[in-house]
Amino acid sequence: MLNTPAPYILLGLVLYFLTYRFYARWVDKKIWETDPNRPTPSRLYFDGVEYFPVSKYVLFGYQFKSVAALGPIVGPLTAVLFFGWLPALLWVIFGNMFIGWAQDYSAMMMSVRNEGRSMGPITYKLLGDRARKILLVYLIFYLIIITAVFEWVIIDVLNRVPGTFTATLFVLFGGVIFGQLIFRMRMDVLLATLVALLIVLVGYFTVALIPAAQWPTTNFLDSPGFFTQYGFDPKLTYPGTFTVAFWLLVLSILYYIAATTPMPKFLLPTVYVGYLPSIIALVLVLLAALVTPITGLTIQQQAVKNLYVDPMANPQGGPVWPILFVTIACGAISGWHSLVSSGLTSKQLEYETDALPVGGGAMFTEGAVALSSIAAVMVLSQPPAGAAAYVQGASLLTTKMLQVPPIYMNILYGIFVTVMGLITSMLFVRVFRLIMAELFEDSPLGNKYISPIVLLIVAGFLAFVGSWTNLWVFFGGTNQLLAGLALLLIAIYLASIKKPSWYTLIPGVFMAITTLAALAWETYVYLLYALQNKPIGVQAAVAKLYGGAVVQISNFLSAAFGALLLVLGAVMTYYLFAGVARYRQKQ
Amino acid sequence: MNLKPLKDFLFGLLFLDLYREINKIHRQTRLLVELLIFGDFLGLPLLSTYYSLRLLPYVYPSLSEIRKEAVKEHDIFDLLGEHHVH
Repeated sequence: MLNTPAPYILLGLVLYFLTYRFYARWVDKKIWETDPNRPTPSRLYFDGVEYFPVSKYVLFGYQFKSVAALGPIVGPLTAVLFFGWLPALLWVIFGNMFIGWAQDYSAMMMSVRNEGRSMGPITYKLLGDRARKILLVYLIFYLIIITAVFEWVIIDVLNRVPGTFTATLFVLFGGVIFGQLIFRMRMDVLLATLVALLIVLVGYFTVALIPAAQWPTTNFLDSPGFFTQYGFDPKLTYPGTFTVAFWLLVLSILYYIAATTPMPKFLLPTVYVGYLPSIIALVLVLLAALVTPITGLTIQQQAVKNLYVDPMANPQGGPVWPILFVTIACGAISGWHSLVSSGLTSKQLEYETDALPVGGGAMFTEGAVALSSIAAVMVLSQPPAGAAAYVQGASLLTTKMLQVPPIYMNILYGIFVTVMGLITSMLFVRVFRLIMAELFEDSPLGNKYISPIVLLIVAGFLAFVGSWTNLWVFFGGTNQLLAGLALLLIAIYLASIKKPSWYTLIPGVFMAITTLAALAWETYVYLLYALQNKPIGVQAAVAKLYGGAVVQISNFLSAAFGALLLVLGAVMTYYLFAGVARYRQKQ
Repeated sequence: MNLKPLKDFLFGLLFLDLYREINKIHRQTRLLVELLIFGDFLGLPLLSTYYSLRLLPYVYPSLSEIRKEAVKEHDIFDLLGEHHVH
């Protein structure tokens, strides 16, 4: 029993429940003193569009969808591969228990008590305009990095799970048709959903049943001789190849369309249709992890691997502190949640007392998704690198549970990772365009047709020549620092209204210091490799194909990104620490 | 068995986005019409037409609401929260 993932996943779920039942409720009652009779922004400023009250169950569903995407899948599996499953499991459990829910719930409550304002206006109110602008610039770099990372994750799965592309095309097509049926032909939403689902299922079964539809095959644009000549494995994905360039081009076209067309035409219906198979995939893998004592799948991964990895021996590792805490962002704590909680959900909260089940509850549920991701990798004896490990592990777990041929689950999880990655990356490009328009109002850089191109070129270059695992640490770092900043901002707010702020202040300080340290470390690693003109991991392929200079430039570029993020993060942290000190003194 | 919580959860998970977006499009279109016809009552330098004066009694009760919507400031962070980017 103890050699299966089930007891550990169950332990996490029980601890989440106890935290919710006792600690979170205590904070809700004693610190925020929520009152169901106090009017919320949704009732005070009702306009039926932004402000309207909905039940906590509706909002819980929405909040869960908003916070649980590819982040809680990729982060935990990467951490298991680096450090072993035990450190990853402990951080997902304890990070969520003491930090994750606290941020999501408190950001929502802070917004509710501030007329439904989002993080930006609250930062402006408490710290001034400069702090708000720095936050926006910081987000620009965050988006460039995360787009590059997700491009690589998607390309890796498209390349290594043949058929995923064909099935994904059907999902996108279903999305477009759904959009037309709903917005143009005004068809009933359930009927339109059935039509879209039918298209998705046709794609799924076509790929599963017809071998010819499992196209394209791995590295289809590069000859096998090319790989053997350099001693590479032709079953893996290497940056710099024609195949990677092809996928990058396909993705860039999709992203550009998503960023520049009206939401109802492409992005919104695609997100909706893409989410349908994803829910099934998410629920199945969690159930499959819990029934491992029956299916007989045992833990194959080491509990603890190296806690310190020499950067010159393995550049993708590093010391367990701070790298583990940024490798797993979503699932334990994620800064972007504070924007969702404060910018949107808070405006639809019916009663103050709903904030805990919605904000806290959704975060704990995301923790469960992260736990299932850890379980998926735990059962693999030789997991492949990257998100393909999740596809393989989740397929193994669910195949054993459902007793179906592996191809069905392989395709399902291939679609899941690709579609979730695609949906979120399309949103990255759109958000980037919005922020650029805000920052560069009167410059061509703010133009809606030009700014996405800037992002696609820079992120495309980083994905084409880069090592995604190292960039992932940058993503985690920026996301976690955003979380640290949100927690400190909440502490400032609590101090300003003379309430105890320790429960967000301590995690906020921890997150700020940890993530600044992680950004500094990763910048140092990139700089080290750039100065010594050495490729990082799979960059060796690019070095052999295009010469060391290309890799060196990309590593200098990555180091420059890291340094910029570090400086911006440090300045923002300084502002917040000064703010905390000022308001606590007043208190 | 009470299935309402489950139905509500699925509505939030799948449809709240769409519902909000449709409402937003509806509001934008309505606001455009209202501004064209009743812009002068909100301070826009438009001449009152025969039709706007005829319609005025019907719109009068919601005039302050229209004004609020037309001049409301929107922060970029509000838009960011609408995108599930992580």
